[in-house]
Amino acid sequence: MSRVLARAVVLLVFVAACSNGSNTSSNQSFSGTTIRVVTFTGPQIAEPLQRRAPDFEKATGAKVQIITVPFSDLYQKLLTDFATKTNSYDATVFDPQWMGDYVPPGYLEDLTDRVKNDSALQWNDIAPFFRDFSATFKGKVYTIPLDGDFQMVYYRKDLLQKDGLQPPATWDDYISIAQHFQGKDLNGDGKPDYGSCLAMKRSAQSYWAWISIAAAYLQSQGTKQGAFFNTDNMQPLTNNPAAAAALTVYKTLSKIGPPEQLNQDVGDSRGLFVTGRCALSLDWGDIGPLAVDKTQSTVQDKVGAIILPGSKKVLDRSSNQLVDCNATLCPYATNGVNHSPFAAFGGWSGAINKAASAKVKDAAFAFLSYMSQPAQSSVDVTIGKTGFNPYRTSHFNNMGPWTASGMSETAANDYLGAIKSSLQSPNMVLDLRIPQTAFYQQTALDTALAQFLAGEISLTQCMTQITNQWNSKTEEIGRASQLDAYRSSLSITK
Amino acid sequence: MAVTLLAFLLPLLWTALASLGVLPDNSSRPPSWRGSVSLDHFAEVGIAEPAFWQELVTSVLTAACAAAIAVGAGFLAAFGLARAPFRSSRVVTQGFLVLASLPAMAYVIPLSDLMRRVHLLDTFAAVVLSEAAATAPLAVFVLHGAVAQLAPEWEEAAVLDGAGLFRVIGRVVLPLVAPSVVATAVVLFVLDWNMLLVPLVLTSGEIKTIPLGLSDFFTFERELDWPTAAAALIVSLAPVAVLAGIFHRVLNRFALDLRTGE
Amino acid sequence: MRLTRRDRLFLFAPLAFLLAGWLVLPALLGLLATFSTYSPFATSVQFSGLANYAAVVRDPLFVAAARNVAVFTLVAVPLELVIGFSVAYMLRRPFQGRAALRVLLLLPWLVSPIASGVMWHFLFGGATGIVDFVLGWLGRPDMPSPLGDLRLALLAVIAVEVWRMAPFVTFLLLPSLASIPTERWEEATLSGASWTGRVRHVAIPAVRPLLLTITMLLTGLSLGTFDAVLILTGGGPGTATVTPALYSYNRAFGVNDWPVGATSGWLIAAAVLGAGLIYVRLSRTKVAD
Repeated sequence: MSRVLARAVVLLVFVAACSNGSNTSSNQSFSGTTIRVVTFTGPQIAEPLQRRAPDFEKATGAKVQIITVPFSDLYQKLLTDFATKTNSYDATVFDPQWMGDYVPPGYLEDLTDRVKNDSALQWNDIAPFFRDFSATFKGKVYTIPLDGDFQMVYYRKDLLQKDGLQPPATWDDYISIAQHFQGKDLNGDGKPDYGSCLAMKRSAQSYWAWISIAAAYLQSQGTKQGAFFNTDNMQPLTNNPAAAAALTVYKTLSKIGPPEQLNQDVGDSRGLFVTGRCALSLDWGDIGPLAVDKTQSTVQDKVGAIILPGSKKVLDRSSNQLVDCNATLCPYATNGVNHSPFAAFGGWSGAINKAASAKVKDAAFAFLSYMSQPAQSSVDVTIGKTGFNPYRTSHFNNMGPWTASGMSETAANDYLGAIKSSLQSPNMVLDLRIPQTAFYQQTALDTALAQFLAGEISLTQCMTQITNQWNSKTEEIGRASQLDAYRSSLSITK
Repeated sequence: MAVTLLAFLLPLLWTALASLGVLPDNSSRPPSWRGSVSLDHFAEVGIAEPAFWQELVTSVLTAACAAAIAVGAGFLAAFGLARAPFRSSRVVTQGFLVLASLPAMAYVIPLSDLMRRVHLLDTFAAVVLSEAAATAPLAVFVLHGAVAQLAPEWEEAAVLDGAGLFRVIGRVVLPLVAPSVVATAVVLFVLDWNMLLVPLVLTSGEIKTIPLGLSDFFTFERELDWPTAAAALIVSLAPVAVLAGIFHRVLNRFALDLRTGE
Repeated sequence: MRLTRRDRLFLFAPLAFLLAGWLVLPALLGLLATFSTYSPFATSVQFSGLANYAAVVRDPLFVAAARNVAVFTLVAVPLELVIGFSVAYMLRRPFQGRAALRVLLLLPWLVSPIASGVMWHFLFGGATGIVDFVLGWLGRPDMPSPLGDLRLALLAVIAVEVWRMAPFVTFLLLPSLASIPTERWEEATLSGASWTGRVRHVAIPAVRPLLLTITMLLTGLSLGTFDAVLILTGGGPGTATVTPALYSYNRAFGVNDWPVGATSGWLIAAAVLGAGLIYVRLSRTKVAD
């Protein structure tokens, strides 16, 4: 064990030295340059950028100005700034889904060659999904990943073990575990607690949880198959038995949790889980570090993490029916269960304004590369409040920073194991990134889901409503161009 | 009486206690209190939102300037309306009240576009002038009432003495309506201090006021615990509460009565 | 005093400049834009007549929003008036500490709508909220936050706004109520009037025109409800608390659908201006004090 550790340490030091070396501490080659980077008001995401900017300035002479705006405004501010050529920002750390709106009009700098020539960046250390899908559009690289966003299920190891239950492999398992614990007192305060805590508040990005559920039924043949539209004719995949199954699961879960779940966002669900009131939850990577935060958590060392539950039945797109998995339909299934880890949101990534001056672009690239390089990122992903979650192979090969942050070795292994199996899955789901993704997801999907959960519309009405709204938006923008954008996002070449 | 007081003030008391770290424990029977008094949460505010203290300063400056401009322009116009009445001046005065009731959403969307085109987006000037324009109609309505009920003899005497417009306004009218003017300024300061929509659509990060900072607490990826949020709320309330306390006597003069011009 | 033309220019110019540039011009430009396909970076703009209005009015989400805001206004405004008046009535006579009480009672209004939204999200909630604390003391079971209940959410939002605005009504009414000469009160008691009689015949007449003005202000405010629902519920559960202002904001800035956002914004303006017409008509028949 210690030999492995020693080797790892040497490797890390070597790597750090190399990256520092080629990140050029010797030349103040960017002195006099100011880079204006915009992102959303933190502390997540903004904090690590702000913390490391001075170090970068010391090393290269470039001044980094971090500008923050409310999350709900970031998309619009960027779009306006680019479209009106105001160019108040040189770079941004943003949601890569927005590439669908920023790349076709030519607002973002093509980084393909730069990443190829930057050895310090260690591009190949970045997990394949993030390298080949998340950072690219139509085969070209436009972003540097800084964060690996995807959803997982968290469970109370102690509670499940005590009652002899296995962590959920399918959504049906998840439901039965939740039902088992719903109403029981899980934290010893005499009040009934909850089987599952999810974020279901309207206008609070709750829809990603549904996609996490639906993906298991909709995508089974690899990332390129996509989970939102038919890749031949751009028909939404929201009106079929698979979507119906996912909606039924979602509605059931809305009843096996806190009674005010429809008004709870991730802040609430995370709070409930780490104070011991839920047996299960579904979230991005944040719960891992939060669970070991002594100031908030009462469940340290009691939390397990697992890849998103899957399904034994998936959608057969030729017959539009929900059928049992078999070798052709579910080539990546484990024990007959198809898992589709969902890279919800995609992970905050850095991109560069094409209209910035050449010197500024170089400096901006150097800064984003610096943030992504293992020396910096492997530390940042262990700190909960950075908002950065692991996305590089090197992030989970070294336990050191994780145990240093307070996770026990078992907890770290568990957490990282779940992340690893998600990242290594060839069936990871790429989030939607076509023009006007915001309408498809935030307006159409979010509203329909909220109405369905609240009982305002029925299951069939919900599916029809989403499908109709998606189709009319597709027609409005142009079916052919939307299809092209969708296929480009999945790097499908004709 | 006591019940009413309780109903209105209890939520604030709750929040104040939470900001000091004293929280109710609803799981015990009967519910009890826990936590010890500490100022940690106020420090937490600065960590959760690093620019919070700067936003405080920005809010003070924008609200003060906007209120000053609105009251200044409003007072002059109110005087003009009261002293130079025309056929429909009563309706015009009421029109100002209707304008004062108009929610900002009715025109902020084109306003943000307009500001962008004249390169005033995300500037101090744009925020101040927009807030002033939004609140000036109320100032006009209130100050019109104040001026209209002044006995005209004072001004007539000054005119007879040879005073021009400036002196009449400055030496005679203003001192007489000073309490109303101050009261209006305080009310407008509060309205500007609490405005969210106008700064929200007009800024991209350079200018940030407290309500914007507070709305940040509740957006994507934020988990904020109750004590820290409570501390932030108390801090955002304190300046206007102090202001209201200092000027409470004068605030009585803020009257929405419509007077017909004498 | 006689005002010359130059005088009038000096008096009205600052306000005219301010309002023209930052209120009237944007409003008019917005109105024009609603008849076209204009958006800030549209490559071409075409006249489209009433197409935007048709799209908005036909959108079930907008219809739900309009219905919600109508309910909101019809419930919140009377409540604010009644509660505000009652508190002012209770404070009409001077007593020791009344001044301090008046300041304290102003506090809810001093809280910004957004702060009040943040506050009530926690106060309605379970672990540390007021509601469950009180229920616990009364020995009753916990009640889940009404903000998550389809049937109660709108009422909860209304309650929060009434909490915030009723003290402002008190603030506006109290000076007039407090300045009613004591003789009038004594007369009424001597002539045997009950408290309803005193309210109807002494208090209300003193503030009747003021009540109309306050109603207009509150109506405009309610029709434009935005900050509170943004934070408290995001418009949910389902569509229970969407308002036209929230709808406008989400459309214009959330998904970049400028024409729809601007159009629904103007519909809000039209509603308030309509209420304003009624206000002007009604106050014409009243005599100002």
